[in-house]
Amino acid sequence: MIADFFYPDVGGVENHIYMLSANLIRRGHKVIVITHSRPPDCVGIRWLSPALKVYYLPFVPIASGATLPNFFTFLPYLRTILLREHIHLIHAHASLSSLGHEGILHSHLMGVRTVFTDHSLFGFEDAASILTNKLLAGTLRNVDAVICVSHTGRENTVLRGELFEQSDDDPHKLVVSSNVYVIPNALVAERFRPGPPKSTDIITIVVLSRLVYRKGIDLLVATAPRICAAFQNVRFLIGGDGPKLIDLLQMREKHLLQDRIELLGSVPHNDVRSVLNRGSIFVNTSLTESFGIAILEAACAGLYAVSTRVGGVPEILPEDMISFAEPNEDDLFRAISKAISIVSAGEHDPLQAHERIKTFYDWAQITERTERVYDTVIKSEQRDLWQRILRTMRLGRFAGPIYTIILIVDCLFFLFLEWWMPREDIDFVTLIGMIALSLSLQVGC
Amino acid sequence: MQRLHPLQTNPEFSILRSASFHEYRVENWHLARDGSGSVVRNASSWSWSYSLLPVIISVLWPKAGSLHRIILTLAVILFLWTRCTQVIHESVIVLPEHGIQLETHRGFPPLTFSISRRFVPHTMLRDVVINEGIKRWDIRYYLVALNEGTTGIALDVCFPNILPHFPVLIQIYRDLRHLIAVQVPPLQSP
Repeated sequence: MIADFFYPDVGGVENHIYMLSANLIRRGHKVIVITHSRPPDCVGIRWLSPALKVYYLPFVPIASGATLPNFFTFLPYLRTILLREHIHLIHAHASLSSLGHEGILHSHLMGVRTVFTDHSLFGFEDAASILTNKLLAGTLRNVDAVICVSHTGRENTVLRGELFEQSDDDPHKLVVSSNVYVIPNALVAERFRPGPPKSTDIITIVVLSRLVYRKGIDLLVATAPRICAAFQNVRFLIGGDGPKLIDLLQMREKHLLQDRIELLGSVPHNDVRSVLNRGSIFVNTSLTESFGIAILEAACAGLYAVSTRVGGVPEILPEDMISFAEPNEDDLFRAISKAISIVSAGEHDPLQAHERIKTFYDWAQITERTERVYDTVIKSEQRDLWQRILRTMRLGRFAGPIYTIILIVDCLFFLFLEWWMPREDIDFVTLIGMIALSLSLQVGC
Repeated sequence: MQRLHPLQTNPEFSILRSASFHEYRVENWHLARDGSGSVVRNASSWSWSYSLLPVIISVLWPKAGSLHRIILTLAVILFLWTRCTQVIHESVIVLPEHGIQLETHRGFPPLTFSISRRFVPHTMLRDVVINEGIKRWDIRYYLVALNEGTTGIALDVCFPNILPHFPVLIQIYRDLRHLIAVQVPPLQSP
């Protein structure tokens, strides 16, 4: 697994990578994770349970855990790591992770297959999106398989990464590549069990998210005072941290809602369940959401979910377990009011909801589906260099030649590395070494 | 004094046993790993190209100005210094009941000019660990002794310059762990 986003940072992508790796190890595969270092503690090579080796490489992150896009600086490390660990396949995560992109660009030189998972939705119009989409298209041109977490995410990735080809029958028609799969995220249902039943005298609405613009905090700031004014027995419990915390504090001051709205600040992952168990309704106001694992976790803990109808959210739960609203203030007010009346009337059963969701998403199933993708990739034939060059040249009038030059210089750099650091001199990982180290070392960071 | 070469694939590793101590020595050469079996020396002895140095100096010196002469002198001194501080061999010496000593012998092969030593007493030696680390563009296994002093745990890498490969390290690791287990644990003050 290659990603910029991993332990000790916490988040959806990080958790997904860890759970997937742990389940793959349980099924008998060997998994390592490559990420960038977080000095002073998380440097070098560390082990996480169960027998998961993590390489923390010295790359400096520039913004929120992502490193600068490079094309060559990762190759020496990647070559040594892939050869010494006898890796067959790499799985890169997250479009914003430049280590992942580089991993896909370099792996073919060593005969290693590539899989890419995209976890988020991105736009098409603003300058940052245009650039990142072009980088993504360049990387995904020669990847072996792409996994998306929802059907909406698949549409988004296919359009951004140009994962379509001219169909064989009709050269004027475009057909989506056959190697794009949808495998959703999963959660550990035992960790999100509902708490004891609560009285409906006071209804608590829980909001847990990063307080940033794209999570729709502005909508929450506009709607919360209206809800508090309309329903006297409603309390808000808002957890999370971010730049929009100021707006929430100002709103609370302005409407004198200090006793109705409680701000918890950053909530560690282990405490999420206890926070969720304090509420009856969960509100998600995201302006864009590829999957929405937070909504799923809340619904699993027995809360009634209200969310904006964006991105992949309508795909995750059946219609009777979640209420939708358009991403504007009035519709959100309507949806939350309806949720409050449903919960007050006692029509929502938390325990039954938990039992249902337990069967929907399970890490064992997701791992098995991912294994099938890996199997398909390994059994397929790898493209040779000339095919890659031809495909890369078709990227665009300017992007094509640029990426082809990068590819050729990459090959030359690889030849130089084969001479400078010959394969025989690499310190290979042996089975005895791996077992001894993973058992005796308890070095986390 | 008995000298053993326990590994056939790594003849640069030898164990010297005597009554009062034993030494795990790794010399600064190895067999070529591409199957030819030829010796790859990382510390070079006298080579014919060294005799070109006086020739070059004698050509350049008369024509050089004072600044150039200073640069030439410094270059020669730097050259001599790098040739005379090459690592000859590194070792881990185990003194039963006292501790372990990490040594690095430097010099101009085969002469030794300087030895740097680091002694770790048994009371301070907490454990011996093999871990992997990043060295420039390479990833190597290394053997490290954990010392517990009054100011926390310090790490002392064994064979820091040669960094032998895993088969050598695992042999030394097993013997050292055995020795540490056999030693009487230090008295802990309550």
